[in-house]
Amino acid sequence: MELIVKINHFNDLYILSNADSYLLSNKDFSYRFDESFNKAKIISAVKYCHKNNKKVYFLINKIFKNKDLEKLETFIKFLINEKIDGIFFTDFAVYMIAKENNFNSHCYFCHETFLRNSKDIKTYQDYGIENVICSKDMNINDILNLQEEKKDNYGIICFGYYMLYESERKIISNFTKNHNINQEINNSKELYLKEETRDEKYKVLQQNGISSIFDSKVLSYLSYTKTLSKNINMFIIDALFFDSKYIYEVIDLFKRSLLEDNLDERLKELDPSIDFTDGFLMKRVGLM
Amino acid sequence: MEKVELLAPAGDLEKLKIAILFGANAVFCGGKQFSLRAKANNFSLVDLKEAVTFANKHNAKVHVTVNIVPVDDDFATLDEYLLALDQIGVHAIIVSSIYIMKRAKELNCHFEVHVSTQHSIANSKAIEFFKDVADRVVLARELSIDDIKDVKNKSVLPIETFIHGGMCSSYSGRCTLSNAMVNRDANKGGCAHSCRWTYHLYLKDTLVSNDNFIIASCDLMSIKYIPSLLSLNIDSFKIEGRMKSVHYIATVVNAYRKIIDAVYDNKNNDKIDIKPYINQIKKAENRITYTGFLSKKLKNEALLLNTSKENPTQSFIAIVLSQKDENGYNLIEVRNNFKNKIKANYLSANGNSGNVKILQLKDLDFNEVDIARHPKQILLAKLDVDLPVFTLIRKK
Repeated sequence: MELIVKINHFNDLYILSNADSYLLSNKDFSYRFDESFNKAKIISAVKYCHKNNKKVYFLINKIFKNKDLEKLETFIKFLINEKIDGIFFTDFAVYMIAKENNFNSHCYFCHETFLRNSKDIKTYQDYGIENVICSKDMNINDILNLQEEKKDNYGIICFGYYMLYESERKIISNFTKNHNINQEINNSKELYLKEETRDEKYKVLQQNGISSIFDSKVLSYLSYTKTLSKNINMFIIDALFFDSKYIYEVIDLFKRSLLEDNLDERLKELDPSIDFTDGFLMKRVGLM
Repeated sequence: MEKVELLAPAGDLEKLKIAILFGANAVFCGGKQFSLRAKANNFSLVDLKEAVTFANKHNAKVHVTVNIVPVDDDFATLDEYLLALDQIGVHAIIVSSIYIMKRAKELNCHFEVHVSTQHSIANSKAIEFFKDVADRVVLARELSIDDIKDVKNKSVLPIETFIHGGMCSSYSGRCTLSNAMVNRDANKGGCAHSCRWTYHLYLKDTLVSNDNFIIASCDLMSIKYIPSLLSLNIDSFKIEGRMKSVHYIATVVNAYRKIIDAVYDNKNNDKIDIKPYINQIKKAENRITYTGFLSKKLKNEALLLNTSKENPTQSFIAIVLSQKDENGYNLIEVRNNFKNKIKANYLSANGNSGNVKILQLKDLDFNEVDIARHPKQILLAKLDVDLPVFTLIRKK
């Protein structure tokens, strides 16, 4: 098992020393992150991680327009040059540019809704995308249909707030502007939406012009790690909205979960205010 | 220069025929399997056969949506279904799943494979990935005219772009609000439109405002940009709305048909007055519209700020089913209630429109009818003008 943490701050590289690998973000190329890693920080991060036998990946999960492509290509070449271990992407432009630079085998396709059956995943591999991060709505039965012999090429997000909605519409600033509300709250990480007939509160975030809504509960596959690890090797923890100390404990529990059972209670004890969900792993959603 | 394809939605066979007769070069519809818009009256294979026969007769094309994002269990009947579509002679399928795209090619199906907008493809480099497995890409809706121009100039595949209709507020294919909130799978056709529900914004535990927080978007209307879009040589213009009424389909398709033709016929580059086309659409459009991301600057993020302004239109009262018989009666089918002897207006499939008076109204037993009250009832009507079959009659 490779435990990858999408980190919030440079210091997490030191604090979250129990992780195997780290996923970094940058404001021009990523959504849903905390600290933007500029080039200098990326160089330092790669150096530090490689010195400590850790891997470091970059998350490029933005959707790009043609006018962004030149900048994207320059950045990808920079990452390759600086020996980043891999690029997580959702836009095929990232993959195509990486391929032109012979880096395609280090690309990880991480579309959050389109990678939920074993046939599509296998077909993407047939077309050259070797590494795939399963979508959040992939059911356990379909995960178990993945080819065991390729488990090193498969990953899954196993912990964190997961995105339900993502838009280029700035829904928060539009609301505050139209209702004369203090604009300073626009970038807050403590905003929630509540639907009028429901009790749940859904986190909502606006960052670099992109709005995201997250599930009201925190995804955790802690009880399923052993089962999932038959077919999947990369387990990703998304630290967004959590402090580093808490995530350190979460990483520890996930590592232990390969050998120990019943760690859910321990997870709950870390912060009793957090409600957990196993997302779509154990259910099939229907039409009606 | 090849004329752009005008691609219209078809929720059922009647709408398909109307769309083609009122000016669509192609229609898209869902089959009973593998299609989003689960609530549309999706087409059986028999319906699709009739659709293709009708389309071929009118030199039009039928695209079938095979656009769910499947789970493993969904694939059992895929080959059989693709081969059936091929046998029927559909012209294209619209697909999200890479496996379905590949399978269509492996089975040597003759139809084209179009990459669904659910992939949110917004640049020409991403299109290159699909060049061996697809024949066309439907672009993301988050593109301005300049963005589309850049894509078109460098695209290795033909492109299709949305010009009218509903817009997901989220990037297409990435929204799972419905999945999480009501267990309805948006990517398999079960979208509950959770983005249109009423929300409030909180900062920690404090309500920020009593005002409703808006997530849903306005519908797209691009009449004003049609001349610019045509200059880009885009391959297909798509109107969205398989759930929309016959009246909506006929009116909207015909308005776009007329403005597209007017631009192509405008050899002297005269300024085209767009008002008549917008006014025509307003007769059927019951949603608030905006130019969406096509504009350089989004007003209010193209969000739907006031849903109370959306009113269902009642203006469509009847459709002509037959030409005048020897006694001077047309068969008409009632759509909304209206009184005998009223003055109305009409829109015919050939684009003609004008005033019509209902002189006499009788049921099929020749009893006089004062008020046509029952939608879908077939009546005999004497009209003061000769109207061809499929003409829409609307209240003034």
